[in-house]
Amino acid sequence: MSGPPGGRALTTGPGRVLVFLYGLFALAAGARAAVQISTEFDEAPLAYVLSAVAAVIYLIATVGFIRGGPGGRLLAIVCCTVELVGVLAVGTASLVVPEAFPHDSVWSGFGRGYGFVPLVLPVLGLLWLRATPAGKG
Amino acid sequence: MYAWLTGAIIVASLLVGAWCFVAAGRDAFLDRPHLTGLAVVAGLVLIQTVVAAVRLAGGEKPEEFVTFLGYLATAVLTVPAGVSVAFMEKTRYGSIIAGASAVIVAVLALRLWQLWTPLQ
Repeated sequence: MSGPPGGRALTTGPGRVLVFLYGLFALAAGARAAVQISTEFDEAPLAYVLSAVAAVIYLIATVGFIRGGPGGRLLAIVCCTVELVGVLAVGTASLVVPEAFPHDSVWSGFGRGYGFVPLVLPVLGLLWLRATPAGKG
Repeated sequence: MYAWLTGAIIVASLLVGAWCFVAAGRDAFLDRPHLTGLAVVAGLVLIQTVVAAVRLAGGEKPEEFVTFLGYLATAVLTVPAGVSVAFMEKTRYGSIIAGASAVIVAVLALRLWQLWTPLQ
């Protein structure tokens, strides 16, 4: 993977695919959570708050990938790790204690409602962060 | 919102998306025919939006109205956004981005149909 030198390596090639998908998910999950929290918060507060938290993490990860550099990488690593732990924890919890999740959140059922993209995205993100040399961004 | 139009959007976007992924598999960026296909998908979504606007103005109202509008706006913007980002990356990865945007339109078209017809 020969990205241009300097701080751009993280956002070229496969990185650009990641940034596009992360940006789209930040937008989609954020908008959906905003609608749900403003119109039907009482029905499933836990699920909707989780969706909002997930949306914010997607947004921060997107910023981390775009900024690059040691700070951006650290941001992206932390966000991807939190996402992976979150989707695994909430996915498992939504199967074991379904009554706590009467409405789906982004991470319920390991992201089933979103084509399992929420499960795949942090794994791809962490693999990409490993594949790019830290010195280059 | 008509079943045939929704069906046409889903079939067209999945075909065009797969076609973009084939280009990516060949380590190639999109050619003019791919872009034409993506334009057709975007055009069908625009027609769907006009149809939805006319029927909404006629008094029909889908379930979860705000969410419906959100999906509609996202469907209109996804392929133009995907192609724009793809042109910043004129490699196989640009083809993946454009293909992914087409597949997302298929999902959005299905969700819009589900919201329009709760009995489905």
